[in-house]
Amino acid sequence: VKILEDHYKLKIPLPMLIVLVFAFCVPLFASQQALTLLIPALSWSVACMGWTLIVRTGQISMGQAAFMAIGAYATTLFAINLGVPFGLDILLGGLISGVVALLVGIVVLRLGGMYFSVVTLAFGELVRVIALNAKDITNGVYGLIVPQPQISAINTVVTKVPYYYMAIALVIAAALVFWRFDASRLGRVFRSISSSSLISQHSGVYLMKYRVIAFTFASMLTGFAGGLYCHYLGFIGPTVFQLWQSIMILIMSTVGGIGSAVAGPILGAMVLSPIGDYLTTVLAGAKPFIFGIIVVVVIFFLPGGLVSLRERIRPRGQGGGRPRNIDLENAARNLLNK
Amino acid sequence: MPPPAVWLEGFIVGSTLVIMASGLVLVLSIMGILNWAHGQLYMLGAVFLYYLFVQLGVNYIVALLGATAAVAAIGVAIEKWLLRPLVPKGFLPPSVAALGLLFAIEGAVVISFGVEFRDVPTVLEGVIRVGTVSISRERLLVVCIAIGVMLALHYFIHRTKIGLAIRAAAQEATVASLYGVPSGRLFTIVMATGAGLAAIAGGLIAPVYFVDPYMGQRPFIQAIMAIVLGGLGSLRGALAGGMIIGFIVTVGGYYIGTWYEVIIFAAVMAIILLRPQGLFGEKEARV
Repeated sequence: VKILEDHYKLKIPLPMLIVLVFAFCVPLFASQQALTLLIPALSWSVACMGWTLIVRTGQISMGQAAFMAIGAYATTLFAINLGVPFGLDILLGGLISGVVALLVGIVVLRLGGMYFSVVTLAFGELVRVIALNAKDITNGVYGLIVPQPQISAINTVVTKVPYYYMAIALVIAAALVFWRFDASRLGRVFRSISSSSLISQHSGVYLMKYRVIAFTFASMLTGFAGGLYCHYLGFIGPTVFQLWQSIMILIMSTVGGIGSAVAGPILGAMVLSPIGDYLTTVLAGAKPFIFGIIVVVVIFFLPGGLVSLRERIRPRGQGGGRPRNIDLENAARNLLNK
Repeated sequence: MPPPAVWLEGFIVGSTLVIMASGLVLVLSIMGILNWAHGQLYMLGAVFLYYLFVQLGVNYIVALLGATAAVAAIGVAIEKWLLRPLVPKGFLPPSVAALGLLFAIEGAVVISFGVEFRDVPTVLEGVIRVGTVSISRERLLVVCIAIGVMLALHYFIHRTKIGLAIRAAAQEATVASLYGVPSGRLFTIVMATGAGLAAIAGGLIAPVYFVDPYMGQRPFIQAIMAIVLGGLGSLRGALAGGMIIGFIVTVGGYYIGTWYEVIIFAAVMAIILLRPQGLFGEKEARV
């Protein structure tokens, strides 16, 4: 911690430290069942952080699950066909996902706004169709079995603890990246774009460049999450990541609160993902029904999301500290004026 | 050349997409948001038609009208209680709310209707032969209703006073309201029309294909692709884009199966690169 503070001028607040220590201790007392709820939630929280980063540049992505899918398929294909070892294959899968996002972003982020939402939505469908139809590579609707890592002395089929720590590591890495992003010059540029793209354009910000940077980085990390998730699942098929999951990412982030780049999405994913997994076992259709209602209620009565609860309960004093909260309105007000 | 039946199928798919896309364009140009739950309204139209036509045994045309009216009423409710308070808050809140609605409607239908595919029985038996081509009467009926709906929509937008108000508000909302166009009531009318159009499209397609809770997703994506292709906020663009996508889906599907999605995506990317305002769009959103 001291080294981090010295090198990166990072200050790790006490509550976060407590959360971290707690997160590391979870496998000591949690059952395997609890872990099967937590590992997906951790993967989703990385995807949610990515979505939030994109939304903070004023763009709404409707296809983040597609980048999880690309990451997952690429990871699996690297592992199966080239025998890339566990860990490295996730890294390569995420990179592929980032490259694809770069290519899509360069074309569509020229226009941004509604065009971006529409094209990412269609992109999600496109990825699903390709996964379904390129049978030689993806085995079509039957999907692929993801090879399990060979870690000596640990049977990853029986215990999920290694995956839990991998997921925690990924979340921490992603959170650090997004956090530093947010505090850096880049983050300030993103904030200025989201509060007024016109003014930032006039002060010399090349909008498209920054949007593409955000989209690419977010999608790369989302790809890592997809790779990890499919390793944990042991299977990847066209139905694992599709339109529904894209909207789930969006709902989890919004419920958590997009006012903060890291805490909101993680909180949203950690709260909603286990609830969703529970609801699917109760009744088919209960999960989308209840999630739809939850997000509408949050939009109406708690527009800042769950993270804004703290300020509701104990309002922070005026002045001091950098402005942290972009409310929903500002985040996207001039999407339309684009 | 694919057989004529494929072209007819393309026309059916295309015209339902045109009807859906027109509803989207109307809502977009007046309220400034994409109605992300449009595909679910389409699905609700088909589900209501199924209940009325199959369960209650009502005449098909009456059932179609009933389903349309019901979904239009739902559209009004959505507009009044969900979208209108959120639209002034920018682009994100109403979009997320509409996506939540998408989830809620789909979930509700899965719970009450079930996930299995349900067949709507044939509306009209028999075929008509034109030379060597035989066309089922049912598909012909669907084509006739679709053309009728499109003509009625054209009349509504271009020949009635409400249509004039809609065109004016789409061009310049502030000025239109200065001239006495009540923007609130216009929101309601547009949303009711949009939802009704989605329901008609769903009700038309129900006897041709199947009814299931997820049937709205793919046509919705195709309809928004159509309006991007034709130009956001242009009804002529919706017509052209919907027909183009309809023929890509069927004629392309005839040759290469579901790979046609790749063609649609490539076409839209090309349009965005070369002509971002779309085939018929102008820089400003206009109906």
